[in-house]
Amino acid sequence: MDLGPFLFLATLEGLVSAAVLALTAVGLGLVFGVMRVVNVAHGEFFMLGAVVAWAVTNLMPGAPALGFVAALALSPLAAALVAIAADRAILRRLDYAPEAVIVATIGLGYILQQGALSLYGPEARAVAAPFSFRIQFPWFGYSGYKLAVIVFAALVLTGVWALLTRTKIGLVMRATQWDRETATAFGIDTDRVYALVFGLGAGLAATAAVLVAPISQAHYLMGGDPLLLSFAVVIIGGLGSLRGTVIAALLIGLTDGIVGVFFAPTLGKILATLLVALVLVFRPQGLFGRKTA
Amino acid sequence: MSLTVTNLHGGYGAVAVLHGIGFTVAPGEVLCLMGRNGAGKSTTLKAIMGLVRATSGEIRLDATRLDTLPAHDVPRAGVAWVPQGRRLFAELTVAENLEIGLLTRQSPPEVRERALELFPRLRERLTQASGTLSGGEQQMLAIARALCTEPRVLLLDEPTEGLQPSMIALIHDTVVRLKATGVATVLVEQRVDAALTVADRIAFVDRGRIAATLPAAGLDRSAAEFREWVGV
Ligand SMILES: Nc1ncnc2c1ncn2[C@@H]1O[C@H](COP(=O)(O)OP(=O)(O)OP(=O)(O)O)[C@@H](O)[C@H]1O
Ligand SMILES: [Mg+2]
Repeated sequence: MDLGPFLFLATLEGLVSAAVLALTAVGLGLVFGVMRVVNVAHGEFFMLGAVVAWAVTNLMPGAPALGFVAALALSPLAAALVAIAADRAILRRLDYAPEAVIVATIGLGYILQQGALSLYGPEARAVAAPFSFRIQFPWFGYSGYKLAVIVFAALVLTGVWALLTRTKIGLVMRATQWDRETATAFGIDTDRVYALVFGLGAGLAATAAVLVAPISQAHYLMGGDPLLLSFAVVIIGGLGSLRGTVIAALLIGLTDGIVGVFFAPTLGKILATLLVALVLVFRPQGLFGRKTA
Repeated sequence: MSLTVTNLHGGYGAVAVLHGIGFTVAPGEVLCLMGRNGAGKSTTLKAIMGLVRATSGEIRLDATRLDTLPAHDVPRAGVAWVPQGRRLFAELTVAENLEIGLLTRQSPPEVRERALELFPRLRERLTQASGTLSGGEQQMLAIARALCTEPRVLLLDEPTEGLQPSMIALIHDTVVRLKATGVATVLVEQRVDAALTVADRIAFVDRGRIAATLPAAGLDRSAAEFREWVGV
């Protein structure tokens, strides 16, 4: 293959990783932005999404597409419900003290992981893609499903953006993010906002995992990489900036994809790590973050 | 509606700040809270809003107990707070800050229009981020946001702090106008002249207690009470 088509292929691969990563990282960033806590269990909510997707697609009779659509609805819902339960039972009782939440979510992540190991097992299992047609470019054929992942992720991200900027609940979330006490003094039940945001964050991670499950596989240890990469994206993009998070996800996803295809996957990871280090040193608030608040 | 605070105790965690605050404000009345820095004026207002838990005592809006309500139900009952330092949602626009006020009690858009009539300057800045307003405009917005909740009781914490004289006059003018609509107002104010012009009664706060409550008409600016409790 010539360089041009090869670059095109690498870009497509990069866009797929970027799409999945953006969804996951926006979930993590939203939780940190509004609740000012780091959810170390975020990767395990991702894993939960993939595992539930496997279960749903296998239990659902009929066409694989039907099972997949069901998974796309039920997996994020399941992850969100687990997250909301964890928020009520654990985080709220800790009064969202940042250090305590880090420790608690490490524990929560461990429980989710071991729970998946006990119920789902140690195997990596494939989830059937809802469709399998290939798109024929002049130089190569490419998975139609992967292209659909890019489009769907973009739609969900647009939805999140619209939710935050165009709806009442988004306004209430932004007010709570800025000043929880004053928000309460204007009748906002900030406990409920927190529960909702924590659920939404987990749901986004699970959505990303459902999308990626037919490409990679579902496995109880699959949450590690998404967690680390999401942290990288949130650091680079700047906390509390949706736009920054998406751009950083594109940056990391594309670097990873292009460098990974042309050179070695490891080099892509090294470059992403280097980028994080550079941002931390020279622009600790992130590329799109504000210096204060 | 009248606000009645009785023997209120409370503070921050283990730190007790309020040691038996008590006062009443009737509809159409302005009660001024005065006292030294750290006396507990702001804490009193926060306790009324449910943001600082009352450890004992009672807060009532007419017959309704406020101190047993969850904090987010206090504004829904008709009490609005203009916090010290304004505490706007700085990243939100002027319109969005007002919208938060309207959502509190699901008030119709006319309520916002009435608030904007008091402060026409805000109307020109509806799409501006509230953090970029001038100090005076921010204070107008803090009051307008509170009025968007259609309060029966208005708690104003040093609304003229750091403002120039013309702006101070405008704010006090607004307080007098609202008084005429039957709102019960608690105003924290450090300026003796202002307190004497705006207030019906003055309650002196000293180390978490009400040292004295006196009609403003019976005081002049050289009264011993101001020296003793406010230190001016
Ligand atoms: N969030 C807080 N945590 C702990 N202590 C606090 C807190 N806020 C206020 N305090 C303490 O409570 C006491 C009363 O403070 P408060 O803000 O009510 O005083 P104030 O009368 O409003 O003073 P000022 O005129 O300076 O505004 C002070 O000793 C203060 O240090
Ligand atoms: Mg104060």
